[in-house]
Amino acid sequence: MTQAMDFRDALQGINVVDFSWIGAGPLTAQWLANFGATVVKVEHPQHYDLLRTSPPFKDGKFGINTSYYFAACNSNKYGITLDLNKPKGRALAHKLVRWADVLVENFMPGTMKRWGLDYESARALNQRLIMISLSIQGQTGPHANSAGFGPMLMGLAGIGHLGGWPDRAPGCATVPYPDWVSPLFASFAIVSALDYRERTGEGQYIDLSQYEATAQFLGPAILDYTVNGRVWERAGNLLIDSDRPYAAPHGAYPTKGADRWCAVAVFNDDEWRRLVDLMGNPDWAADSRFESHDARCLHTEELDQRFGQWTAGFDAPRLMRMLQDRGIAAGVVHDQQGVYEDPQLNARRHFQHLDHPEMGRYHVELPATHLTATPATMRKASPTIGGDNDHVYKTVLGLSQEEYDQLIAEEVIGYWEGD
Amino acid sequence: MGPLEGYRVLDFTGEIGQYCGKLLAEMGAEVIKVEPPEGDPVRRLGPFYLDERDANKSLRWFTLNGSKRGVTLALDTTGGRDLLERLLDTAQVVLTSWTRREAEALGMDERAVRQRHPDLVYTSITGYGLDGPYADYRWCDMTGLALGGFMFLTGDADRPPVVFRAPQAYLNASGQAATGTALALFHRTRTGNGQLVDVSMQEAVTYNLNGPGSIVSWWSGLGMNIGRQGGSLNFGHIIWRVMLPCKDGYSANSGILGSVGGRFQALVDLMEKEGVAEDLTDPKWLTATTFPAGPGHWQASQEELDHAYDIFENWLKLHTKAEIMELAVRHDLQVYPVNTTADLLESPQLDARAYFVDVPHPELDRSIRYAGPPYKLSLTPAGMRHRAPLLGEHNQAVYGDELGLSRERIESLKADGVIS
Repeated sequence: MTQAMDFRDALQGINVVDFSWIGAGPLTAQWLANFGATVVKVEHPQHYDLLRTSPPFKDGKFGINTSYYFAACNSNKYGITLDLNKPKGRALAHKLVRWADVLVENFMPGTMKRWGLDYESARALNQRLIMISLSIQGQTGPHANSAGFGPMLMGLAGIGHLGGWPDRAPGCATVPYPDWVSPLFASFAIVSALDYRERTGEGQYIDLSQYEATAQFLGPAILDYTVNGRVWERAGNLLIDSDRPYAAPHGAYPTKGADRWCAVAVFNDDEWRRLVDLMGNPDWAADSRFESHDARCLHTEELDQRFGQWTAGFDAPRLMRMLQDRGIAAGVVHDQQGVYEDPQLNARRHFQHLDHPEMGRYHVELPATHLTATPATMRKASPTIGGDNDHVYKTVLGLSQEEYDQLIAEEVIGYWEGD
Repeated sequence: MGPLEGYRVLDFTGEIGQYCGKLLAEMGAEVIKVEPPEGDPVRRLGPFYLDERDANKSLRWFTLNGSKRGVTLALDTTGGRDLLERLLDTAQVVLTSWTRREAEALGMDERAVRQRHPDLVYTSITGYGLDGPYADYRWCDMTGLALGGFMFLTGDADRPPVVFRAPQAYLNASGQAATGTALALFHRTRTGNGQLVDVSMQEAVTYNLNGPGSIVSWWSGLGMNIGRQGGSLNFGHIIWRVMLPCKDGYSANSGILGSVGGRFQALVDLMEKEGVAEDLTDPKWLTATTFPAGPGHWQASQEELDHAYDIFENWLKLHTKAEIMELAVRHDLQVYPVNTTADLLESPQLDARAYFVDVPHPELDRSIRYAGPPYKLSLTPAGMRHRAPLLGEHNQAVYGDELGLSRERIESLKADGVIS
């Protein structure tokens, strides 16, 4: 217990060197930054983070410093450029490793070793270091060197097979799930390891497989196969516990306007009676196919059609309120505008805003895990490329002006200068 | 073993939060699932072991509560509250999924509990968070996906938005809660102070949209919305056809033009050997990209990309999922098969990493194969410790052996319906 300090942030005083790029790695380091860690993101001056070339861009026009996508994954970090292929570059990287409590990387297995930055080498520089590698398939095994990105991993990990309609191709390609969920596991593992280090003094290495992280989201489908031999298929909006639906209605129902929907779920006869009452006791609801929960679960197609005719007469937010007022689970199927303007998310101050030197004001998002004594804070716009070189090299690493100028002249600390 | 060894967690959550306790347990914390005497509602949800509907045979329960111990306790009885206080004295973390109103009715809201136990980390996992206009709204996994902005993006453009076959929002909420709990424990280790960790499922879903994708920026930055595209990935200016049919199912690719390194060349070489490369052998494709072009590259139009996809699709249809997997690994291609659970259980990679583990279920007279945690910690390994608890399995161990209740006292608590 450290009595002398008043920790306003959960990770106050924790230093992180972030060698990662694209999605899963940068988002992991950002979790730590959001809770107060000092994070230095290292980019090669020419082979910079590919997310810098990914839309959406400010005003819809490409700019190396104006990708909202990059900004979303790198806010709250300091950004430096460094050429690790030069010996002096590696020497600077080693200084950063000595400074750091945590090292994050998501290169192909073996890449860090070429720079003398694998865990054994890094540990020799810093005994207390916690290092995490988040590669696609983990550091070991016959497929460890198979590189890839989120969309294809949706397929590999089996989750792609479960999203969409049974008579169509998997319908979930717009959500790069592996990049979304791997940082959850990674940040949890890192913070658990930090706590262990605080209690024992020992650092360690974490090998996270994005494949395995994504496959966690198959949930009970794994056991239904290993025990019962049942292979789960896509089922549209049916909520199925093994071989039969257990909620009806269950799905997205049409409401007023183009492509506007409200999700509604009815789990039992009590809820159904309240719903029928709300609908004004229509004749169709008395049909024998709909009279009991079990019967409704067997006739979902007819039920969806009838129920959808009723929902189509309402605005989605109003329908949600009417149903929720009667204790029925319902939610507007928000598009991006709906999410951004949602009263509950805004009551929780989910969307924050930062001012960026080239993008101007842009939105960033708070994690959903609100630590009431040590909350996440949004403090710093995402770095322009090499934007924090001065601060990090001189103030954090303590280089003199002469040393710094010399490293720039030798293009060890490179600056991106356009095409 | 595990980095969280030494912590005791009392888990009062429903389905929304049970995966959080499992993550903590696999990291070494001692997690005690506290259930009402009649059993947790998840015990009544399938799938079931050999389809036998039995409170001790829910595979969903098994999945979410592995590595935990289990006791029963009626929180709305005097005897129950007395035992609860004694349990709280031994714990560092409580996990709940009551709304504020429900927790207050039980005297188990954060203020009441932390007033009595100020160093506790109290993690609340609810649909929408403890406060705000939706605080009392009913939730299910789908309302989290809908209100979080995820469901709008899944499914085909000509049909309603769609969910996944397995719960997703619950796991996202639980995952964020695990990180939040670990952060609060770290703060507690450094200062001695507990705190409330308030997790919203809706917000956990929305946070995903933050990145990669920064999907809400389409609206906040550019005033437009992107919709669902089925098996395609919509980048706004260009659409990748990610999920494509192969000989015996589907495949998933991460874009074929502009792929990093020499992978496109490797793909074209394979296609050429089989006589289906068509004009993709033209060297111009080697420098094509679907994003703004850097030096030495050019940006392909949707039409040009679709042309390349048409040819690629013809090649895919010549190959099975197993062949695609093998070719992807051997030639470092940007395509994998869309696997089923059956395929995963046969994966040599997952096998080599011992991702699946056989966990004994003595009362079933067999072991069951589970997915273990997705990370390997070098010093303090995470892992499944044992199967989920039977109903009231550890009542004697916790109430009798540890808290010192006599056998008579335990019997009278049973008779009063305080435990089962």
